Amino acid sequence: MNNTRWRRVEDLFTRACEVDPEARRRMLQTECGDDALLRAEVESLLDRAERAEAFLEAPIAPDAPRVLKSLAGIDDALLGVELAGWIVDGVVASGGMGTVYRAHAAVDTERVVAVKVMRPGLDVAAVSRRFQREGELLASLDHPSIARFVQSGVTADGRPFYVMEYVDGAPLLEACDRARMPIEARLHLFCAVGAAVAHAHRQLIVHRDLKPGNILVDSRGRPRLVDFGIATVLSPASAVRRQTRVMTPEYTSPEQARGEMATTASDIYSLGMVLYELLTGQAPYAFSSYDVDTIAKVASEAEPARPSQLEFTAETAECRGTVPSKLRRQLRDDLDNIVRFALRKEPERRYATVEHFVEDVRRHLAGQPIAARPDTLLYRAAKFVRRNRLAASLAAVLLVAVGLGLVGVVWQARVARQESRNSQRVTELLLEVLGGNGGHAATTTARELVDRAARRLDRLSDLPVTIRAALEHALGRMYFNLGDYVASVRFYEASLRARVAQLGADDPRTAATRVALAVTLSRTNEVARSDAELVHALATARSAGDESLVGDALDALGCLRNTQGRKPEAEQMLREALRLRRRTHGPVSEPVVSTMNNLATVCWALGDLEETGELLRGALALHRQMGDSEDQQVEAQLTHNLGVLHMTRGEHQHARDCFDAALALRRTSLPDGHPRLADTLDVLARLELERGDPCAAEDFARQCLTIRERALPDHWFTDDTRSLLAASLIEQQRWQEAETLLRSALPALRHKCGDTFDHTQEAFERLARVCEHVGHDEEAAGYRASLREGGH
Amino acid sequence: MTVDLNTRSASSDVSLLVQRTYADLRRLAERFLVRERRGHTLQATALVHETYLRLANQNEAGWRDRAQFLRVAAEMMRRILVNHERDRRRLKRGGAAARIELEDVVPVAVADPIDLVALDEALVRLQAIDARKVEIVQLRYFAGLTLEETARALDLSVTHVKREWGLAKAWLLRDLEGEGA
Repeated sequence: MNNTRWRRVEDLFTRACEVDPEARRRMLQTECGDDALLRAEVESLLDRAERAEAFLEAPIAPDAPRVLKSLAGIDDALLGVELAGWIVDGVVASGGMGTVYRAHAAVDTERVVAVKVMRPGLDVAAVSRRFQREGELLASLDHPSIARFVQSGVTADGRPFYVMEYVDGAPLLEACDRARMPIEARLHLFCAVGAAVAHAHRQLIVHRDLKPGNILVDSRGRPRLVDFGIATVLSPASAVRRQTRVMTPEYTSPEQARGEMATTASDIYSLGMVLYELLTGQAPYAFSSYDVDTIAKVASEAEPARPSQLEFTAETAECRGTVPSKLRRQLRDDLDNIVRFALRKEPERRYATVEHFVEDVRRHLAGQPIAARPDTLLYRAAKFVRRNRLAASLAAVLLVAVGLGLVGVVWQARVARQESRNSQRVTELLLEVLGGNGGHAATTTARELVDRAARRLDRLSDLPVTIRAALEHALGRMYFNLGDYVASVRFYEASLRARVAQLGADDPRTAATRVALAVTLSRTNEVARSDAELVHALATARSAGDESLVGDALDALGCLRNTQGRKPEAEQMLREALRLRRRTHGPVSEPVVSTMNNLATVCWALGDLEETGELLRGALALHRQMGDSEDQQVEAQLTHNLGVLHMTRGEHQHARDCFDAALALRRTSLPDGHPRLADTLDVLARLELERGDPCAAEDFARQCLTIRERALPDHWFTDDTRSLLAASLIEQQRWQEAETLLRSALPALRHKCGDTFDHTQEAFERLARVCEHVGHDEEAAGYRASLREGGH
Repeated sequence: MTVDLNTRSASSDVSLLVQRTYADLRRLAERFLVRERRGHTLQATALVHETYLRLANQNEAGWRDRAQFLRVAAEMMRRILVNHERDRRRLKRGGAAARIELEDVVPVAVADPIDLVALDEALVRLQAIDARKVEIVQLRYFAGLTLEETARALDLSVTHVKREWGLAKAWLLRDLEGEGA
C-alpha cells in the first residue's frame, strides 16, 4: 500500500471512530464513492477496532516501565513531594549516586533550588556518610563558580538528600557545541573551571569526580561546578584508606581506578580528560567493559592519542567554528602537550598544581612557550616559526639544517633560497642565537627572541655581506609581523643598503627588499617614500621580466594608490596583480587571496558593494580551501573587511559578529598592542557609535588609542582615534573632555592630511558641535565653513 | 542468539548505545521472564544501578536524550523477547545442542497469550507501511509506557498517539487473524 493511500485509510478510520454507526456508514459512502477496496480496507479495520480495545494494553512486562525509566534516568516518583520545606517540581538530571530535582520553597515559590536525592539500591549507610560529608564540604566552599550548598536531610523513605543552589545551565560540552565555541573560547572557559578547582584545592578539597557533566555553563557563559559528591578532605587519615570506588570510568585517574587515594593530582588528570574532550569532542579511551579491572587496566596502560592526530568530522570542527584540518592544526604541539602532560600516568609527573595547568593554557593563549614540554632548542625554534610565519626564511634554514627533514616548512623568502649555499654559516649563527643561554627560557617571547637575534647580528662584524643582508631582511619581516614598524624599517633599510652595494640598485633581489620596505613605510604613513620605492621596484621587476615580483610590487602599489584616493589606478593595478599572481602562484594560493582582499577594498571605496562582497567571500572560501595555511591573520583580515561591508550596508549585528570574530582571531595570533588589533577596535568604536551605544564606543576607542599612541605615535590614525573618542564623548554630553581631544586632533589632521580629507572633515564637524554647545558660535561657524558641500 | 545491532532506526550513537547496553537489557528482559514463571519479585536494583552507571557515562558523551533512549530500549526489549521465544521454539523442535540461558519460560503476562513471534512478524509488515505506529507499539507494549509517556517520548500530542495506537492495534489484530491486506 502506498503512503498516500495509507494516509487516506488512516484519515477515514479516525473520522469514522468519532461518529455513530449510521453517520459512519454515510461518511464512508460519500468519501469512498466507488472505491470499494478503500472502503473494505477501512471497514475491516473498524471491525477490529472494538475487539482490539484490550489488545496489547497490558505491557508484556509490568516492571518494564519502572526499570526502563530508571535506566533512562527518569526518576519521577518524588514529583510534587515536599522535602524539608522544598516542593519538588521536576527532574533535572541523574548521576551515579542519585537524581537531581528542581524544587521551589514551600513558602516562597520564587526561590528555586536543586535537590539531589540518593538513588535507591545503593549501600545506604555508606552513601549517607558521603552525602553528609559532601554537605559539610560544600558549606565551606564559597566561590562564584561552585554551586552553593543550602542544607541536607532525609526523605520519608529514608533516602538522604541535600539542597543546593540551582544552576540554570547546560553541561559543558553541550553548551560549547551549541554556542559553536571556537578553541580559544573553550580554553578561556577551561581556565575558569580550573580556577574554581584550584580554589577548592587550596581548602584541601578534592572533587574526585570531575567530568563535563559536573560542569554546567550558565546563561552568561560562566562555568559552575556541581556535585562535589565524592570529594574527600585531604587528611592524613584518609591517605591510607582505600576508598569506596564511586567514579566515572571515562574521567577517572589511573590511581583512582586502582582504588588508590585520590589527590589533587587525580583532579588534574580528570581536568586533563575534560580538556581533551572539550577540544576534540571525544574521550581518549573507549572501554570494552566497565568492570573494575578493565577500567583500571585501561586507565593505567592506554596511551591517549594526541588530540591533533584524531580524525575529526566536519560536524565536530563546525562546533568549534572551523574545519577539520584547521582544528587539527590548532591542537597540534602546545595543546597536544598540555593535555598529555596532565594525563601522565604517574601523578607526580603531571602538573604540580591546577594553577600550573591553567597557567600553561594561558601561556598558550598568549602565544608564549608552555611548560608542558622540555624547553628545547627545537621546541623554541618551532614555536618561533609558528608565531612568525615571516620567520620562514630564518627558521626554515635552521630547521632544515639541523636535519629534521621538515620539508613542509615554508621556504618562503627568495633570500633564503639564494643564500642556501651559505646555510651552514647561517645555521651556526641561528643556533648560537636561539640556543644561547640567555634569559629565562620558559618565559621567552617571540619578541625577545627576535630582539636577541637582532642584538647578536649587530655584534657580528665578520658576516659575509650577502648573509647579513638576508638576515636583516628576515629580521625586518619579523619586526613587521610583531607590529614594530620602526624596527622593521631599520632592518629593511640596512638590508636594502647592503643589497644596493652588493647587487646594484636594479637587481630583482634588491627590488624584493624595496617592496618589503615600502609596505612597512605605508603602514607608518610615509606615503611618499613608500611610493618611490614601489615605483622603482616595479620598474626593476618589469625590466627583469620577473612576473612574480611584478605582482608583488603591483599589489603593494595598488593598495597605496587606494589610500592616496587614486582609486581607478588602484583598481587597474590590483586587477593586473591578481592576474599575475594567479599565473605565478596558482589560483588557490595565499598571494591570490591577499590581492582579492586588496581589490575588495578598492571596490568598496568605489562604492561597488556587490563586487566587494563577492571578492571577500571568494577570498575566504579560497583561504579555507587551502586548509593547511598557518595564517590566522588572513582569516582575521577578511572577516574584518566583511564586517566593514556589513556595516556599510547598515547590517549592524552582522558587522558586530564579524568584528568580534576578527578581534578574537587577532588577539590569539598577535602580540598585545599590535597595531592590527587597533584597526578592528577602531571599526568597533565606529559601529557602536552608529548603533547609538556611545559608552561601548568609548571603551573600544580608548583601547584603540592606547595601542596606536604607542605603536604609531605620529600616524594620523592616532589623531583620528582621538577624534573618534571625542565623538563618543560628545554623545555622552562630556563636552570638555571631547574638546580637549579635538583641539589636539584637528590641527594634527589638518597638517598631516589636509582640510578636505574625510577624517579631518569629521573632526571639523565634531569641534563645531562642541563650540556651539559651549557658546563659541563664531569659532563654530569657522569650522562649519571648512566643511565641504554636503557634509564630510 | 544473534541480534542485528544496527537497527533500522539507529544512528551511530544509537547503535553504540545498543551495543553497550544490549547485554544488560537482555538480562533485564530475562529477569522479567523468570519472574513471570516463578512469581518472584524482581530484584533488579543492583543490576539497574550497574547499568545505570554505564548509561550515565554515555549521557556525558552526548547521550542525554532520554526519549530516544526509551525508544531504543523499547525496540531492544522487543528483539530480546522475540529472539528468546524463537530460540525456545527451536530448542523444542530438537536443536538439543543450542546453548540457552533460560528454558521453559512463559514469556507473556497477558491473560490471552500473544504469539510473540507472530506479533513480531506482523510488526515487520506494519513497519513497511507506517514505521511510527511500530514505534508506538514498542513503547506501549514492550516498554510499558503510558499514553502520556509515549507521547512525550515521541514528541507528539496524547490525542495523536491515542489515535495512532487505536489504528495500530486494529491493524495488528487483523493481520494476526490472517486477513491482512
